[in-house]
Amino acid sequence: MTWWILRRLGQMLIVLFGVVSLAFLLVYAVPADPASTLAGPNASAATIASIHAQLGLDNPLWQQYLGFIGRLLTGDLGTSYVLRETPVFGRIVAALPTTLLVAVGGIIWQIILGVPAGIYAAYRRGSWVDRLVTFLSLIGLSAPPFWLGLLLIYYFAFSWGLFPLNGLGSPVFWYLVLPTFTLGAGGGAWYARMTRTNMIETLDSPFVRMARAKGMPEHVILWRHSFRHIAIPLLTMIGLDFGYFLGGVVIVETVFGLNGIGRLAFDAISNLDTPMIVGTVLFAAIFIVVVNFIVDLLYSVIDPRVRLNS
Amino acid sequence: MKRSLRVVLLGAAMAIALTACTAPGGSTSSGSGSSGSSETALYGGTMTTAAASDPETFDPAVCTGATCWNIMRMVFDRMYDYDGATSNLKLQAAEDFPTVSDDGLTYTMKLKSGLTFSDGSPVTAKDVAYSYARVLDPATKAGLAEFWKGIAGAADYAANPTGLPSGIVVVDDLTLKITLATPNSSFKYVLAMPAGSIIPADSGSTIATKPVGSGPFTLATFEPGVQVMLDRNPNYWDSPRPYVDHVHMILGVDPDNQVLMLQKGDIDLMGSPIPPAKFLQVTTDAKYKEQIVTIEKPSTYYLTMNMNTPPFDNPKVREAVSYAFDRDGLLKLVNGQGKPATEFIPPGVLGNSGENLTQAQNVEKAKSLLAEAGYPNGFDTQFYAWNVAPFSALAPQMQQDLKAIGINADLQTLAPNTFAELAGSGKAPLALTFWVADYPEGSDFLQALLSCATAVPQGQNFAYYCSPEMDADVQQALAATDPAQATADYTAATKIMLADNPVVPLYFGTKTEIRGANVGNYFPQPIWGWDMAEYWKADGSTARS
Repeated sequence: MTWWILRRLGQMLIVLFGVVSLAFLLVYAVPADPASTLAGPNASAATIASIHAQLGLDNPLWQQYLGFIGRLLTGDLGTSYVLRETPVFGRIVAALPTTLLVAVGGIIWQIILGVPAGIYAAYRRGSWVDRLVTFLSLIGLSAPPFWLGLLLIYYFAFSWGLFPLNGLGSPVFWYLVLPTFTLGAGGGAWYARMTRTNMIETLDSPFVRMARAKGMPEHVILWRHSFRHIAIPLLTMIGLDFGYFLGGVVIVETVFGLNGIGRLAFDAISNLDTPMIVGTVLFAAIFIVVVNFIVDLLYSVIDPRVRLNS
Repeated sequence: MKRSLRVVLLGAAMAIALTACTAPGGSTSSGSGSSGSSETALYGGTMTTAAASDPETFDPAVCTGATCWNIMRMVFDRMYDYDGATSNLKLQAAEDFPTVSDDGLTYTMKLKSGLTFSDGSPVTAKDVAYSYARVLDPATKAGLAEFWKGIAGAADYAANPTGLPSGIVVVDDLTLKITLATPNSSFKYVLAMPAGSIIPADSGSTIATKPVGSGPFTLATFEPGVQVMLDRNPNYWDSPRPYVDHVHMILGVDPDNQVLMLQKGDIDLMGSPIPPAKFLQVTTDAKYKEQIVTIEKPSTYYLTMNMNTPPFDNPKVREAVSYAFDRDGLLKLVNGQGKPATEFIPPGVLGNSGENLTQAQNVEKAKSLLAEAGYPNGFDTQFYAWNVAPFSALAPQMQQDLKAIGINADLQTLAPNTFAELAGSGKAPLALTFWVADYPEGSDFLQALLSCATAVPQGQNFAYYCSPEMDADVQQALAATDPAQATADYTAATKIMLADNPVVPLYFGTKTEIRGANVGNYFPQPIWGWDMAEYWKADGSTARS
């Protein structure tokens, strides 16, 4: 167990190092100069060159890369190129609570929308409910989040005035309903489909037939025995989604004007703000890696057959 | 672990794809319009606005983005500023307009007496001198430093930034003398640019986070990604301005959402332009007719032909392209936001000739010119443009227009910063671009975009055009003291340039805005955008409480 954890920690570090290096190098592969973005559209060549030199962008790439890794090891993510005087680390940490709220809300919607529908559709396979769930999940999967978000804003916030239009306020719950639903709708559709497929498989398995044969009540078969079977793939999905959402939900945060990591990443990429791009990617990677680790640990709790050793 | 990595990259890819939706961040806004629900000034209340992104900085020497630009005008005073909805200068911190020596080189300026910064300290000539010198210090990273390099001793100061450049002399507490290296009649406008904002001497290290100015408002709070709150400066010299007590700026609001918030009354003014998809819906709705203002924006949208890249090194080919486009047709694609370009310098900018110097679409003529040039069957080339509106709407039609005269242009639309890098480095045979005036003087177009000095990598001269004759005429215009003479010189320069066809001017931009129903005395400022000190709330009180 200890060995397993140590090995996983080592793997996590390698992944993070790789992700950060790739993010750093990808920004350089883009044929654009951050200095010209900084200097504004009406700047002269001489001014751009001067700013270019001030940012240390004249140094060879390997030198910039080593300097960057060196600072990273001391926990310094640098200062944003675009938002002057803004330390990247502090800015991301400030955006974290909003992203956390949106991520948790999105996961809750996914589970509420997807899991019961999937279970019921599997249980009443071929019924109109099953067909309705399949149809709705198709819509949920196809609807692009920015379109769904704008639609919800237009009707629920603008026309009918049920929810606020933008940002966060008090009570927070009220401001979160639309963005988290937008986030959860697509995922909910996935959950419904996956739950249905796994549940159908489980309900067809010999142990369920055995349970039915000995007269076990249906709700016990469904919720106590079968549900536990689909919990493992479900947990994997929730874990992945949670890690992914915590890394910032670019579209939802931008459309709803939420001050989260996703919007930071969006602005940073539009402006080629290298330190902020690398910082947001690093945070996203950390969340995904850590949540995956936790999910792996939880497997052994849910399924006693899983043993954590090499 | 492979899966996790893929998810991260997918997120990044999505974000990159999304940048396609960002509107071009025009740093300057525009025109001459008016509105207002009551004639008498009303006091108090909070003007609520929204912006798509955070202010990059509160340092006026560094600010080039639209959001911080608006804040600069609220927090700081400059010696001179633009008057109302016009492009004319008015006095701000200065007591009078500068006294210019006969050789046009020395400007003597006097400050109003009794001005104070928001921290209570007096505004002196020393502060003004410091503010100007700071722009020239490379460590400041001022994006528009180029405009200030005409001050004598600027280059020496940039190399060794201590004290003041030799061209800036503090005569006494209220008097400042600036000497230029060459006569430049547009220098007075430079003093009205954001970088000309007056900050307390030696406050350079803190100005970006704790701005102290003598302007109509002071910065109260800044929550990154959330909001900016500005309070009225109760000691502002230009009483009774400003009229409103607070300006609240909500940050990170998507432009589509800004329209809805304005229509719903949640905000009073939009920081972003009306998004193209909403444009007709908003501007044709009778309900908002009173709230719509259209102004002429001192801007030109144009095509560049890189003269170093064959076949555009051939004057006949460039002339042929000048006959290729249907300007009225192009304007329909941008919701009619502009008028056909008659020359390169837009109206409202000194140097606009008032003559028609562009060619109407003439496919036959273009084809015969191409044949004369040795391309009877046309040729293949590359055409680059921004991937955002209005360029994304214009470029495909322009590609069709080029096709009609026999030129097969491979169209590539790029993110703005990638485009700037590519076109600036001379790799774009054809590029669709635009320019918004920094100040209302022709040199900001001819010198900044088409002079020999700018025909260098990373420059704005995407055509790599260089004509010493044109440059000489522009210099003559800058030395002229009489506006009529300057206009004649600029017109001569424009004619020389357009005869060489390095660019095809397409249209002069206009900007249509919507203001909230509750905003009084609203007018957009052609150079700056907002003039917040002049606006009031229609539900304000008749006397200051």
